[in-house]
Amino acid sequence: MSRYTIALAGNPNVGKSTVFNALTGLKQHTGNWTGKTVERCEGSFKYMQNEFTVTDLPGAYSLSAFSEEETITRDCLLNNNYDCVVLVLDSGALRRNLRFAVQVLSMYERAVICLNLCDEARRSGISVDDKLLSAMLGAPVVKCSAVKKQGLRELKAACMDVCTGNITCQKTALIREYDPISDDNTVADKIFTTCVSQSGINKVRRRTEKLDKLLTSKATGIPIMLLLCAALFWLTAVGANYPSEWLSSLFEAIKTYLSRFCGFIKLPHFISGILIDGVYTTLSWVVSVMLPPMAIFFPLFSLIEDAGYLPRIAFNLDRFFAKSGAHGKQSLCMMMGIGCNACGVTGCRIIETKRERLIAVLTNNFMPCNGRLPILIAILMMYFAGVSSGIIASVKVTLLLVFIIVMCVLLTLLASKLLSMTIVKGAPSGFVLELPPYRKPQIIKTVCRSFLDRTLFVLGRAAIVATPAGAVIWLCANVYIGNTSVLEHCTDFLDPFGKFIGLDGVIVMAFILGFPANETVIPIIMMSYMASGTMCDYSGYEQLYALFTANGWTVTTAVCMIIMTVLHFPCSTTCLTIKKETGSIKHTVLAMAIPTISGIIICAVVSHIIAVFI
Amino acid sequence: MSSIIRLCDLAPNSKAVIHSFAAENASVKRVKDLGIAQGEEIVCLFRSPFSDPTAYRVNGVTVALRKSDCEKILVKAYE
Repeated sequence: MSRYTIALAGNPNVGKSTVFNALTGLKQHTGNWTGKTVERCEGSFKYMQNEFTVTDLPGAYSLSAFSEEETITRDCLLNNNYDCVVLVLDSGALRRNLRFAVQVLSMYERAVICLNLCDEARRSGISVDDKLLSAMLGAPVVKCSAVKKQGLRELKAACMDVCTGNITCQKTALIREYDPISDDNTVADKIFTTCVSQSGINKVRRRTEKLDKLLTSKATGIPIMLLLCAALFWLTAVGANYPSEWLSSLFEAIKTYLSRFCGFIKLPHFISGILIDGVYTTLSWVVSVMLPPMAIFFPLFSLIEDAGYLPRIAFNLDRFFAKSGAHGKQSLCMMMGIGCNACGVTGCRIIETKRERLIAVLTNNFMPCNGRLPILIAILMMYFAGVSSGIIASVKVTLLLVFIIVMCVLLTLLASKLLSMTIVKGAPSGFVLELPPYRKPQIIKTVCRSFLDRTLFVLGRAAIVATPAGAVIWLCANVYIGNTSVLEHCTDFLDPFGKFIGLDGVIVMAFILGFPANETVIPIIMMSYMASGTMCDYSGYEQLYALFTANGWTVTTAVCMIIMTVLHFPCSTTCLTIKKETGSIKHTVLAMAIPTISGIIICAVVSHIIAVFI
Repeated sequence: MSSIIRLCDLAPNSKAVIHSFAAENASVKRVKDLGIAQGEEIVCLFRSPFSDPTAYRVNGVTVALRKSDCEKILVKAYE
């Protein structure tokens, strides 16, 4: 048995990740757009008793290293002596793909050419002479469709032949003609015109053009986009309510048994308090509030993503982002941010240029996530819709919520503009947005993948931080110094500051303790007001309204609470993600400081202005 | 015959051949890497609802470019 190393390289959005997954069985997230793979991804497979380690390199247009991904790709190819490089090419866009192939082949002869998406190309009326292509490039050529798992065995066999030396690859005279310094395309273009022919009507292109007319035109593009977003969020918000309720009653039932069990084994009150009222309650809370909306939002989002619609949203909205020195794709990160800011921050990878990506990462928190939307809805219900339930109230709340989200979008644009003038100064990077053909999404596969990749991943991260947080919250409420709990000492200390910005000490403390999960903010406020040692859910808005009003809440408090909910530091999961994505503590601190400071200032100003009028 | 205009002045549904680049900077480099090079045929497809960016077909792929970048690309339009 021998071990070999293989690298996958190619232009962005040619299906490298799909080929990678098909070869290795790993689950690297795929989507119909450019720039999915930023970091290198490694996996392995066995074939004929040989073990192959596969590295999925980020997509690159050329080896001249314009962007971060291209630098990674070039350095990997230069510094690692791979036994074989698999050049993944989009059979439908060979003209451009071949240029990259020629560039790579001129420095790396041990290669296999993988003509991916060949079924789509066939439907487009494109035919490729693979034997001739192989002869001209001096490397074996394999036609495959990674999505349909066609041609994979042949690809593996070709890789093995190249690795073991069964096939010796050689630079052909044509490849030697290519001069990397002048970066001339004549060689690639010659190969293209010799090997590729187009016959009949390009059906794929025609369908894409028809859809584009509908989805990007002035008359229909924007309304369809708004409707689609509205439907997505409505389905998430309404659809999540029921499973959320089931989950929380399930956890409640388990809690009763757990408490009984603790009583049975005579666990000291202090320990069972930390474990059950602290850790377990917080954890079950986070799961029941976060899991259902994410399990609905992300699969739906992934379907739209797979179909190729997302680049069109970026195309429609880029104008506004261009004015703020940002990238149109930021709009997509913002949509993901409404699902979950941590996902939104990870999603910023789709922006290829460093400067624009940093802007998107630093401003993502301005979009209120799933954990914060319920706070906004509760406050709106109680103080601006007159508690009364029914259609009128829910319409009022919806409109106000839309208003808040529009304000958040404007704030994001403003913050992006300010950032691009100060911290991330510099000329805007060249904007290039590929609009790939629309593809029919593979519904079941996409839904499962996105549930596993995104939903469970975020939930896992949230659980890791919620566990210690639950213990801390319980300790704060149950450890006494003198006659008052630690929590009360803190809220008393914070009260003057809280009052100054239109809130009170309890609310400020709740936001601080809610750092691991914003879902716990309202339960912590309730716990403090009721001076009870445990968090509990509210059974209705009337009860909550009475409690809050009895503790001095006014309309001013409600307004400031809304502002503070939108404008404060991101949750710990998001902060960890920002640290991971930017690799910089400075940027993580900035991402925390920018919203918090602006929130404090706006709250202070608003509360004092209202005070003048009332 | 044909005249040399800026790519941003090319009207939707018309074809041109890329003639030259009015500037050499990072963003022009980026555009070139995508295969938008001298002698290449380019078709202006449609504009975004807010009139910028614009989608072009070049090299068999559809790409959107901003007006600010298209100003630096000179093309020879077909009559």
